[in-house]
Order: sequence, then structure tokens, then C-alpha cells
Amino acid sequence: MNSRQVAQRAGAGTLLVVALAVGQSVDSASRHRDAGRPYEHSVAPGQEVTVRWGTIKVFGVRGGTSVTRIGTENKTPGVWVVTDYSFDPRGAREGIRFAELVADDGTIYTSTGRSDGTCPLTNPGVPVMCHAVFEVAREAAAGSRLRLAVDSDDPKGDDLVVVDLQITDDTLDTWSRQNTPVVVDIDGPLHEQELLS
Amino acid sequence: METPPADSRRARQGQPSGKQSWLRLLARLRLRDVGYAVAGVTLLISGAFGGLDPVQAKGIQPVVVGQSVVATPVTLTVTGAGWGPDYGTRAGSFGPMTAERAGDGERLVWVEADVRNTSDTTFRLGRTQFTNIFDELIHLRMPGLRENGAAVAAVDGVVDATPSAVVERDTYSRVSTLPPGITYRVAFIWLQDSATPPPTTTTVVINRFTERKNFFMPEMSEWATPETAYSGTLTLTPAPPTPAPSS
Repeated sequence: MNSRQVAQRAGAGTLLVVALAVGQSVDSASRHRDAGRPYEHSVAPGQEVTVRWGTIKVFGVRGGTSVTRIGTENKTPGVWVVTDYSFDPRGAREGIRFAELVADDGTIYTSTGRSDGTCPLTNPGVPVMCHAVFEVAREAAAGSRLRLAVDSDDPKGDDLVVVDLQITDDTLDTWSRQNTPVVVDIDGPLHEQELLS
Repeated sequence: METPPADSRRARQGQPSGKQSWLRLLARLRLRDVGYAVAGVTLLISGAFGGLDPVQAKGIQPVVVGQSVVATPVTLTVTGAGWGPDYGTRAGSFGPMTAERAGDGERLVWVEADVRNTSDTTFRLGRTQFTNIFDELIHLRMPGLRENGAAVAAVDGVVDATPSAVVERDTYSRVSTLPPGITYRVAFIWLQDSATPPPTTTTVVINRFTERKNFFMPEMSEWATPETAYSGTLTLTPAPPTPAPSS
């Protein structure tokens, strides 16, 4: 092996080591960054937010130990959290198919079973009234956030509306004292008066 | 005169040594024969650890009324059990109504319990979010049980069945998932063929679950792989029919 061949092999080896080092550094730099994370848009009761897939306006948050839907009452040992909001899709017929309530400690309440918040499909320019209904532990309600999206399975990589429900211990005390159930109306078209109210 | 070692003699005479003859023997063996040999040796060694003896299931603890059990991720306390033609009264759109009623030729068997999800997500058993988690949490084993309105094959006269319904006992409305951190007073309800003799006892089986993380998305996980954690015999108390609500 002459000196030229030795230099060529050394160069190839060096390039290989450099390529591995670059790959390792790129991997370690991207490991802590979830490239598919959703783009969060925060909103509070009384406010509205426009995202890629439409506009959400949050009217308010109600709660109690009992909720009535279509004449059927459900009590809970925890607390019901009902968020009233409107949805106006943008560009295509859509509905809110992803809703979950996230407690301050990260506990996640999914929309399933009795926690069955729904929002019907509607066309752009025809806003609908929606209700997110969650049954949660009392200690999880204070400081919790509601997350809404149109993709039912995975909101990653898309806009995600995060509603700060602004529930405090005082709110919970008030809710626990009320004797009447929280009435959840059937979702449907939103009237102009409700939009303006 | 000193006698040379046997191997040295063989080497001088062109004969293979003991080590060489083993190697030659191995070289002549087919791969399948080597596999058989390895399996045989493995089996012999495993004999020290029980060999082919049936593996004993992990300790199954008894179910005692009033005592809490931990069936990960649920804590569950059985508070009573019974049977009858119907169970509970709840408010309906047109007034009070019987919550759960047996069909023709059936009776209800129920186990009352307090349950609490101790995990940090709403508990639903694998597959789809619409799967009823109670399918695998608790079973009954007794004759004549039915599932989805149909008879289930019995083994030695005993049917192993999942509940037909779960109701919470404050409003007697059905529940299908367990949000975390809330203790529910529930009744697990089974259907039994009323042609079987009125029951006095039943065997209850409670499963625990293991959290499985999604291989591709580790942040996603589900509770799966139910295995029997608790089992016990419960006394069933007969209950009379619920009086018809006065209008």
C-alpha cells in the first residue's frame, strides 16, 4: 500500500466519522422537540379565536354535580364541567371531533362514555352551538384546560384550540351548592342573537 | 523408560487426539442433529427450574366483601351481590322507570362495588375508544349466564361471562368508562337463564391490566393484557321485584 492509498483510506475514515458525528448531533438536537406537536391557540371564556380550520367562540363554562341531557339526568361523585362554544368552519364542512380536558397536573379526561361533548358538522358561514361535557374529579377541575380540534384521532401537526376554563376553588364551591342540574341543550344552528350576546 | 501420553502416541501414529475426534464428530453432524442436541441439553438444564411442569399462575388473591382490591389501574371494593327480576329505578322523560329489567326467561344477577380509576387517563380497554372497559375488568362464573341475549357455551356446567350492563347507583344510569380520580358506586349486572335453579352463590373474577405503550408513539398508551388477579365466592341475596312507580 503506497502513501496515496493510505491517505485515501484515512480520508474516507475521517469522513465516515464526521458523518456519524453530524447524524448524532442532529438526532440529539431534535429529540427534545416534538416536530409533530400541535400549534396551540389559547382562548378564554368570552373570547373567540380563529385558527386554520375555523373560528371558536367560547360563551362560558358551567358546572355542577348533576347534568341533564335530553331529559336524562346524570349525577356524578365528581363534578360536571360544561363548556358552551360556537364553531364556524373555514373552507370546508367540518365539526369538532376532538375534545379533551387536561387537569393542571396533566391528568387527561377523554371525550368518551358519559363525557360525550359533541359538535355537529356544519358548512362555512353557518356557525353551530356546541357543548363540551366532561365528568371529572373535583380536584382536577380547578385550573383545567379544554383542548379542541377537528381531527378526531390526532391533532398533531395542526392547530389546536386551548380554552383556559378559569375554574377556581370558589367556582367549584358555587357549583356544589346549586341544587338544579346543568341543562345541556341539543347542539344545533346558532342564532344571530346568541352570536351577538 | 517413561511412557508418552496417549494423545502424543496417537499424534505420532497419525491418529486424531480426543479433542480432534470430538471436532470431527461435530463436523459430521447435521444441523438438525445439533439442534436436537441443544434442545435436549436445554431441557435437561431447565429441569432444575421446573422443566415442563405447568407454570403456576401468579398468586390469585381472594375477593372479600368490603375489602378493597387493587386491579391495576382500578381499585375495587365489592359491597354486595344479589339477583332478581329487575334492578333500580331511575328518572325518565315520562317519570320514574325501572333501570334494568330482565327479559323473558331471564333473571338479573348483580355485584355491587365501589370502583376508582387510579391512572392519569380515562380508562378504556384497548382496541377502540368505544369498547366497554368492563368487558374484561370483572367476570362471573356460574351456570346459565347469557351474553348479548344469547346463551354462552358452558364448561363443566359453568359459564364465564362479562357483565351485560354497568350502572352507577346514584341515578342508575349506565356507565361505560372510568374517568380518573372519581370513585363510582356501581352495579355490574349479568343476565342468567331463569330455567337454571335460583342461585345462592357465584364466583367472581377480577382482572388487572398492564399499560402498553404504542411502539411508534410512546406518548400514547393503553391498558391491555388482562390477567386474573382476584377470585372469590360471593353469596347472592334474592331481591323482590321493584314496585311499579306510582304515577
